[in-house]
Amino acid sequence: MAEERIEDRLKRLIVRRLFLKIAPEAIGEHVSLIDGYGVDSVSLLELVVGLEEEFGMSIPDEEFSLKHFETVSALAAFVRVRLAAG
Amino acid sequence: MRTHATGSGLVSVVTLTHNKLEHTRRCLPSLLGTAAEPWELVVVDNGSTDGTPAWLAGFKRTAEGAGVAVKLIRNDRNAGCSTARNRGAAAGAGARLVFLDNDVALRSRRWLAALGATLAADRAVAAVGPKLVYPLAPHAIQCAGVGISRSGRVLFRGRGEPRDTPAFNVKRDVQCLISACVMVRRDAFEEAGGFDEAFNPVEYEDFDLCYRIRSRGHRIVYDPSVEMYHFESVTTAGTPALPNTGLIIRHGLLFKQRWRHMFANEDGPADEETRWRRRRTGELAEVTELPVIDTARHVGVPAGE
Repeated sequence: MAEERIEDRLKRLIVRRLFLKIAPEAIGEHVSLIDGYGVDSVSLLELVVGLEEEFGMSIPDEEFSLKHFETVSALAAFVRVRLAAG
Repeated sequence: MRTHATGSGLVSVVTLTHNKLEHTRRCLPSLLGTAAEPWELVVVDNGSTDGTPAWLAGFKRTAEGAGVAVKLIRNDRNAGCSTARNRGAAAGAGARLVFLDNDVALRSRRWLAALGATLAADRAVAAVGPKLVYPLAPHAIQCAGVGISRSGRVLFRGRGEPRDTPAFNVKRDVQCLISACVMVRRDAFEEAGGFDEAFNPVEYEDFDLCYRIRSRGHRIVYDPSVEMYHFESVTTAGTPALPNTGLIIRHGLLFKQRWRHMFANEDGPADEETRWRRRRTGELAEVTELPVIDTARHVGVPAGE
């Protein structure tokens, strides 16, 4: 069985953590999370907590940048880099 | 922290400024309408560059002419909220401290007396906060105390609800208060170690303080008999799109790590209730008047009491 795409895992995480009333697959991978789905500073904190739990990764202060959280696509690329870095 | 002799009836109101002069000069003068109560104002300026220090010097003369002593402390740079508030508290002489942001304006003329009475009524109560309302009519609730969910999410109780919503007209214990306006017994504040400078420059320092106070067995109470105006989120600067995001994440993680053993076992709000909703809170220029009320607001009692 193929491993689930990181993008799809992120969509489920976003819907669950932000209590969005939409299906995960309805999230556009290149749509702004801020403008399209109401992501704000506080919900970004919950996404970071979710990333730690879902992917077992932590984000050092110096690695945090809003640009990684602009879209699902950007976030997936960031997650891949962090996972590869161990 | 330094412990010093304090005036028993005196209240030291500690306010920080860091630019945002347009709010400071709208809010601080309103405090001179406070009903007779011995109080002093300590203003710590965190390196403002917009003319705030000069304005404060003029305001000090006005306030002292009205019988309110003012101490001005100037930091050359932004020392952070925790450091500056601790410094202001140490400079004050009151046995009770009020931390008041420069975007909070007077609504209840008897605010100091009423909050002080709540502290005096029960030694177990170490801190008390008012009902904060939006400056823009009809003055909906901005914050009626703070709830923390079992996973550490923050809820501003009542935010956006009508001001007289019965559920928020009840004096009750709360998990936290925001530092926009909170009265604290000095001895409890010092026992807790004041604001933790690990949370400089800002974000979560107030919730951390509340947990340190409560972890020592003290209570924190929301008192809706007092109402104050609060312009939301102008005290600290940030990016227009997502203010203070990096700090909220870093300090939010620290707060969760430090206090999970408490909030995970408390009856806080459900996670879903804590979702932050964007609100149009009103720009300063839109607020033409900030009516002051003279009488205590009616306060309900919790069911069963």
